[in-house]
Amino acid sequence: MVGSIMGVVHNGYSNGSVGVQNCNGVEEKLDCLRRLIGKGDGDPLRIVSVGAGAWGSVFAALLQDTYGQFRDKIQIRIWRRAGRAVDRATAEHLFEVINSREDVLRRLIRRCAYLKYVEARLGDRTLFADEILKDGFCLNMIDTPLCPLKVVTNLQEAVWDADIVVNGLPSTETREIFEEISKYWKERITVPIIISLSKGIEAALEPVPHIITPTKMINQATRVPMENILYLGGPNIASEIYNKEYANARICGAEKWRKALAKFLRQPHFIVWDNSDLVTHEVMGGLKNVYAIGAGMVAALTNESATSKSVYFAHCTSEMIFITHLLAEEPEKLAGPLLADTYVTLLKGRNAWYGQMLAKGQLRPDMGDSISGKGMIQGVSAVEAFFELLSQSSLNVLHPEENKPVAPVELCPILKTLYKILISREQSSQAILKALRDENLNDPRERIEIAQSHVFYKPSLLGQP
Amino acid sequence: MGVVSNEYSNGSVQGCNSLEEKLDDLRGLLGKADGDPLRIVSVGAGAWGSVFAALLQDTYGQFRDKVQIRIWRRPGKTVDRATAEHLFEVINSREDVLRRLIRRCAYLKYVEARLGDRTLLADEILKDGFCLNMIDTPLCPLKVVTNLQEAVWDADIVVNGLPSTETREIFEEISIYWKERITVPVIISLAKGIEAALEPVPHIITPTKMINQATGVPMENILYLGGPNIASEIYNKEYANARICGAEKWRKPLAKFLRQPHFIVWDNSDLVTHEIMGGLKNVYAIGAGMVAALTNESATSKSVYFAHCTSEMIFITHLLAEEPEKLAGPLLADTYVTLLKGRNAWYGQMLAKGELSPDMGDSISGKGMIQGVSAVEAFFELLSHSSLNVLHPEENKPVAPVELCPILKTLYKILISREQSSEAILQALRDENLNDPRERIEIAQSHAFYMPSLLGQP
Repeated sequence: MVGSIMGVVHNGYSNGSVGVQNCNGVEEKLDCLRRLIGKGDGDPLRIVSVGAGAWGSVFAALLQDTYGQFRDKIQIRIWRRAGRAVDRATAEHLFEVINSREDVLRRLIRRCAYLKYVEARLGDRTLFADEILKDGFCLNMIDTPLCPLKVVTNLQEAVWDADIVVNGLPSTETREIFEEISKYWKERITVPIIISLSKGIEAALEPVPHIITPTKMINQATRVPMENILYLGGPNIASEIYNKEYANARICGAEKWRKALAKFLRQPHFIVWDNSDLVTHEVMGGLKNVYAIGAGMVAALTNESATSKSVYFAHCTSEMIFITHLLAEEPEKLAGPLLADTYVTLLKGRNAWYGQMLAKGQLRPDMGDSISGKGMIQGVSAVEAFFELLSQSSLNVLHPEENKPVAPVELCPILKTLYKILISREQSSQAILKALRDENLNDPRERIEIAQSHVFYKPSLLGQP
Repeated sequence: MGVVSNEYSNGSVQGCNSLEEKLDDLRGLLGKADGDPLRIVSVGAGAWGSVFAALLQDTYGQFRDKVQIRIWRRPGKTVDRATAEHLFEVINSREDVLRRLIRRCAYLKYVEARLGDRTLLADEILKDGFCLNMIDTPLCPLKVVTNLQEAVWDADIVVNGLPSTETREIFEEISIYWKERITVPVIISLAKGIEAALEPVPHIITPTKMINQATGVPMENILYLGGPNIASEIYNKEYANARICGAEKWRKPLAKFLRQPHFIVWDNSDLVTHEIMGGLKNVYAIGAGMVAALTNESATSKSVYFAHCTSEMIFITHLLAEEPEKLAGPLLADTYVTLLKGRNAWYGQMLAKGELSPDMGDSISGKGMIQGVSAVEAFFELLSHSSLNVLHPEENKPVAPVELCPILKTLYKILISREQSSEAILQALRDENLNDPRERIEIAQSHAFYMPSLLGQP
């Protein structure tokens, strides 16, 4: 199939310094990257997005929109599992979306791809997620049609000759899928580049308690050197990014690739900065999802009270800052960007949405953390990972008032409460308000002072010597 | 009235005995004898000043021999017809309020005003608990005094609920009435605006400093109460945190006195920095409102704005405070709510939608003073001074600090010099040459920027 050719579209708020990038500028960026990777003429740069969640799909679509016109130089494809059925209600909603968008409707008619949606609307046909994704409909983001995509459902066929692999999987599937990919890469000569979008983490307790990040999982599964594995993080409302809302992201990893990739990925409405601190940013990307769930609960339980949200924000940011002092040597440098990402994650996004649904009783923890129409709620497994890690007595810190050693988690009442709501399930969502309203709760500033006045940094937590 | 708890309250709701005990503790500390009531006056009847007085009245008003709470506002401010009509709707939609007014024979004047047959005055309706800046949230009835001398001459505690732009003037007048006082009053300031002065060296003048200069009351007796400040939510028992900053002698007992199940007050010794940050966040709240309106509440664009404005705020704190990292959590939480809701953000939205323009001034009917506007001017003027130059990270030459704060500069051009429209705030954010906000933080942390003279310290 042939992808559609679309130029970069900008809106009325663009200033004069952001002209439409002309084709030469775009082609030049593509050529730079091709040379860096050693692609000869007639040998296209092959980029595959693995996993078709919202962000993975948008990522592939952005690349297709921007570079897809250069068909001899680049091929962009996306892998997802076959066989996922689209339920009747979603099919009906999808039909409404299609018919409300003239550009989408015209495109489907022109490509003789429309009638299957009519049949599905009437219940006469079952659509599959990979089928609709070819037409640009991501099951987790039905309201935001994307450009048509080349969808491959066979993993070997998708990745065997890829130059750049984008990990759009939940962290809970990353290790498994990349172990399978590793088989198909056994006889590769060139080393691929991998960009991970995944935000979840795992905790391991041997040989010492430490965090395993998705990039580390990929490294362990495939043996691709860490130098070739990067993390792309930032506020991540995928549909807004595709709709050209102005967004910032940060690509973290080794110098060799991160600057070139930042330049390649950057667009007028999607600014990508580069950063050397891969591990801390990746871990923080997971940490904020933990607290996003609690923010959703608070928002729902207090009817969107701004005052209560700010109390929650004061406490959860102080816990996050405390935790960063365990993980990073210079954590203050995270202050601005980390909190900005936290701001949007708490405001909107599926983790916060999930917290709201739990508090309203429309979802329950025992329904699991993969929700139809929303995808994986990464914050849930991250709660468990951080809680288990910070509960280890080998990480004890001195309690400021009781003057005795305690596990770090004892100084993180919100994290403890989220664990009791989501994992051990001994408390309901209302516990999050009780935790905030405990008059004995310390001023969040005290937690920050504790963190800054003692040496808490433990390199082993991130698997470093 | 006792303390009313809602279903989220935990078991620790205070009983009457513990309230009286807290009141007695404070009375003892202030040397009040039996039969001599503790006199608390709130000066200025904006939303927060009114709510503050109402919270105290709700909590301690029952002990009539031990405490008297009153509020001062200027007489003569009229309530316009549209507001009177809206007020009538509010009254009639609230059974408790309606019953109260009927019982006190105070209802019919609202009917007359609704019909246009009578003009109500702001001080008149405030006695019934209606603050002109917060009509939708009825308060308890308040003792309103319109004569300033009568209000403050014998006050033990004065709460400054004035905008910073009126603080100096009013407290200079108060000073006249306090000439022959024997006891030194305690003053709690809620004001968030600041002024910039350029002589003898550029520095910031805070409302508490204005009060100190105007009255001669020692700084030891002047405190600042800051925190997220959606006054109507606080009165409606939304859970809120605040911080009372000042000398040790008074801040701890006052924190205890003011604390309620839904209004937690912590104490802090760093008066000046918190007071200034209270003003600084209002600067950036205006920009946040503009971004929200121009991008139709885009969460992604809001986060880009938040990243840049927090990094500018952190940069500025490094000029003002010796250990600014300690502000990180609380400052940003306050910023979060100020950007989300509140009149400064509302004002930014209205400007961006074209429903207000800067030349209409910064005092808005029904909303009160938009403190962020004068704070933009103050911070801009201060940080533009060449004696404060810092080294530009890329051009390797000295520049005024304001050159590293593009959002502040843009807000100045929109609001003060008015050479740009609200759209400029988006253009400033979307400049591809704009530095990663993390770089601004690294600059601040890697150099010694702290200038004690900015806060009038040696």
